[in-house]
Amino acid sequence: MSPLMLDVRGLHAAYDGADVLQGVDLALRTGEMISLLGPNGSGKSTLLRVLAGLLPARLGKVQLLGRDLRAYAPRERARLVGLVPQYATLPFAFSVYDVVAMGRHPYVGLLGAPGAHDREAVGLALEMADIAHLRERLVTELSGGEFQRVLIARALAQEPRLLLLDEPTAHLDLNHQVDIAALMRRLNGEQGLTVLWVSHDMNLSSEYCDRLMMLKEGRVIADGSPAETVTTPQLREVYGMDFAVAPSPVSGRPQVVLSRGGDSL
Amino acid sequence: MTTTARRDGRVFGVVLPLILIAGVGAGLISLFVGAAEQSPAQVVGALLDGGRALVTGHPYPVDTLHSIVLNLRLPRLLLAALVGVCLALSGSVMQALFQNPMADPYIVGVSSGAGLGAVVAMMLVAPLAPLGLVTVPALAFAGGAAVVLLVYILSQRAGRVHTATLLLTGIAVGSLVAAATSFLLLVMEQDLRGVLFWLLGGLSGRGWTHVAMIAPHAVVGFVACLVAVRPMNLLLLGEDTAASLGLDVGQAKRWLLALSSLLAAGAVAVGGIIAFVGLVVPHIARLLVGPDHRHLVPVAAASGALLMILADVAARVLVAPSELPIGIITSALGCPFFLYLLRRQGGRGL
Amino acid sequence: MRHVGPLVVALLLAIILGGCRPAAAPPVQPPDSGVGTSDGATGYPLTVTDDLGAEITLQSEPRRLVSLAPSLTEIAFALGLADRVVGVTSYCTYPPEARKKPQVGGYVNASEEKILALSPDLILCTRGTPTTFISGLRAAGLTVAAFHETSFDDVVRAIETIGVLCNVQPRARQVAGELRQGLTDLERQTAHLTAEQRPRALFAVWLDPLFVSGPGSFQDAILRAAGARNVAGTDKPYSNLSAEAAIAADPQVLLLSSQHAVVGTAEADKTIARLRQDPAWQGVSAVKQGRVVVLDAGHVAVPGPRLVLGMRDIAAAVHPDLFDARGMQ
Repeated sequence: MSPLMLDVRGLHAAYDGADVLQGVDLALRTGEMISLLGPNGSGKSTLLRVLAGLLPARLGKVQLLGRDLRAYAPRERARLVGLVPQYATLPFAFSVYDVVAMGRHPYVGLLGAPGAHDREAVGLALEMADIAHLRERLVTELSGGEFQRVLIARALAQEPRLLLLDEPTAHLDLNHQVDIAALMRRLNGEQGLTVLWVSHDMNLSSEYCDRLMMLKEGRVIADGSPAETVTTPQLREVYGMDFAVAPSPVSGRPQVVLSRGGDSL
Repeated sequence: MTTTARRDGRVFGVVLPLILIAGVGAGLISLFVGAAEQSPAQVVGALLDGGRALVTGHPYPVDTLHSIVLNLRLPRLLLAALVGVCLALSGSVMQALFQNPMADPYIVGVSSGAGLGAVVAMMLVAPLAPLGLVTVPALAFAGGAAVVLLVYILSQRAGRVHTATLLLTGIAVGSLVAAATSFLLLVMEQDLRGVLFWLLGGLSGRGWTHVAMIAPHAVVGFVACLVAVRPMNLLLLGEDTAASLGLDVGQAKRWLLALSSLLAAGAVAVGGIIAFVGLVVPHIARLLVGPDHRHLVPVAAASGALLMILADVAARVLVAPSELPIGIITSALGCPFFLYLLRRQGGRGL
Repeated sequence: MRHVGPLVVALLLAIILGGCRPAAAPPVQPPDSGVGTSDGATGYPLTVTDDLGAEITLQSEPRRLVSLAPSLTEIAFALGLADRVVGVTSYCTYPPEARKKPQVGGYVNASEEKILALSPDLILCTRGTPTTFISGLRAAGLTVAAFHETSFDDVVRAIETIGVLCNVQPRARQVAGELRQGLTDLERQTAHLTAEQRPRALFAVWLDPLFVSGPGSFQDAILRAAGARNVAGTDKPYSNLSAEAAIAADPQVLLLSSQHAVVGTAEADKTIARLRQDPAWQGVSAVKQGRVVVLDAGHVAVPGPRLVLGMRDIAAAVHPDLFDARGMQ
């Protein structure tokens, strides 16, 4: 058993006064890749914000590598946890390289000068995200898929142990969705990066992740392998609707099959 | 059109020296032209006498030539440059703080706030009394900071500031503050001409005392901006991203708020309310060298100084022996240039 | 001089935006061109063209006057019309009895309602009153006579015209005559001066920002008559002047209108001291030779009968050798 990357117990977190998370437990081992699913308002993004250190827990325990998350200094935390926030266009015409290089802030700081290792890390991040050829382009001129890779590369430049992504495939064309999912899988497999991925896409998650966690109204409804979680009864409990589930003809993993026959409960 | 980081870097290496050279040229022009006809030789002579007086302590002759060159044109030149630096940097900081390229000290209301503070100060103590030297900028700073804080809190929704909300809040709060200023002017039975003219904005009648007033704001502000280039860059990526990269966003924003107010207060304390420079100069600088504050801060500061020096020359010369309010000139100079750049750069973004 | 805010704003706007030359003001018909009568009595109904070019008709001798400017209030009182004045502005502080009259508001923000309630049969105003306000009063059926009081002749003519309108022509001729005579006397007494003996002078209506009287203003006429050369260097009656232009002109006498600083008080001394301490002004002859003089604004800045005193003050400041401040010799 590899050591725990994240240990969350009985987490309550409030947003605008109301508890959005109501007792969430999550134990994530290093090297795992997990997809967080659930309807809108179920609390998945809130959980991500707590884990990224953007939102304090109201109650409960959040440990990162065996240490209370709040005990980390911001830059210390940023060397361990990289965040790819929800897609939003950047109105400022930075170059790809400059945006990715900002991922080195946790190491360089306010007044330090980037060193050889920093440049190396940025170059590596660009390569891992397959955007080395775009390094001198302006982010305002990129396609949605290219820009998403820039955001991922910036998080990779932090050399994190844990990568958090907030719906990285939303608003992307189908081919880019698959590309991004494959990239996450590769980072997880080849770099040993622990990945926590908030998603809307049940099928993509089932295909690329070995562990899925489903939230509803701030509580964990299901947590397990795709075979355990992507089932008609589980989906009914989470989404309140019957969905047909069939194994993928390619991978054999369960896939939600949309049909007109879905009965509302 | 594909623009590259390298190009931005190269452009910076060319643009900054060019602007600095232009600034020095404009500075020389401003020393040599004016309502009074002085030959270049006379001006040079007066400058040399002034320099000699500074070095040896030997006083320069007290006559109109020396008065005009050493006590009118020279301080005016420095004032114009420093006000330009303060306004341009205040705008740059504010745009980073609000992560919004439409922010500027005038629109966000910090100028009106600083104006109110300065008017209160002028009513309490005479502006040129020894105490006024401290009181006017201090209260201008307090007023500016209070307004920008208020606008920031009011226009924030779930940690984000949207352009429309920001503009409307700024306009609303700015109007309220302007109304408060007018009310004060009406109820205080004093000689208000000076205050009113000062509010209109301009550098007419300012001298070395005012240089001493604004210099600390400009110097401290410029150095602080250089220190803050990384936090400002990070904030442009969005607050969540900045926080995830290890920036203490709350603390950074408080510092930037103070910094933009410090800069705006310096400019307002000596020049009154001069609109447009804080908005346009950072834009121009960004179109020239990109949004990276390592390039933007020096270029914006230099461009602000250049624009204000040119504007001041025009204000002094166009309708001589009278003077034009400088705000008319800054708009007339800045706006067409800005529109030209905007059209030329097309969809490059900001 | 309370609440000068709106007044100042209006003046600033007028001066900055409009320049200050009255747009070729149609001449008021002087009393000797048919309106005035040789026997000194005015016949009604009477029709005259005012300085805004409007024809105004008086059916009978006006009995209820409202003055919308301090200078016109002074003229009315000087013409013995004190009893007929039923309304003044809050700026009308001279003569002291004027303060006791009902006030209709400020200079540029008088209350239309208040004026109507006083049911005046003649309203006197200057170019300081917005034209829209004047048309509003006229639309309400009131008679308004507008006066430009920029040049010395304008002032004299305003006095004579008010004399005609109100049927006090003899008194008006006397007051106007004193003004004319005062100027002629000055000219006569300085006629012998050579150009060298006429000092370069600058009359600052305001010091901060610097506003000076130029050609076409009544102060300019007095300055010249008193044997000075006005070095304002502008072509407008009133104009803001850059400090540089003022200093380059190197005035030998600098006259300041007192505004709030009352002549001979610490306030006036402070104004002078401030100028002397300003390094930019130290090279100017007037400062070096101690010839910066603060003059009572009531005498030198109000275009009315008290200009007689203003002439005395200015002459004494320009040529202390020829005139003394107690009166023209």
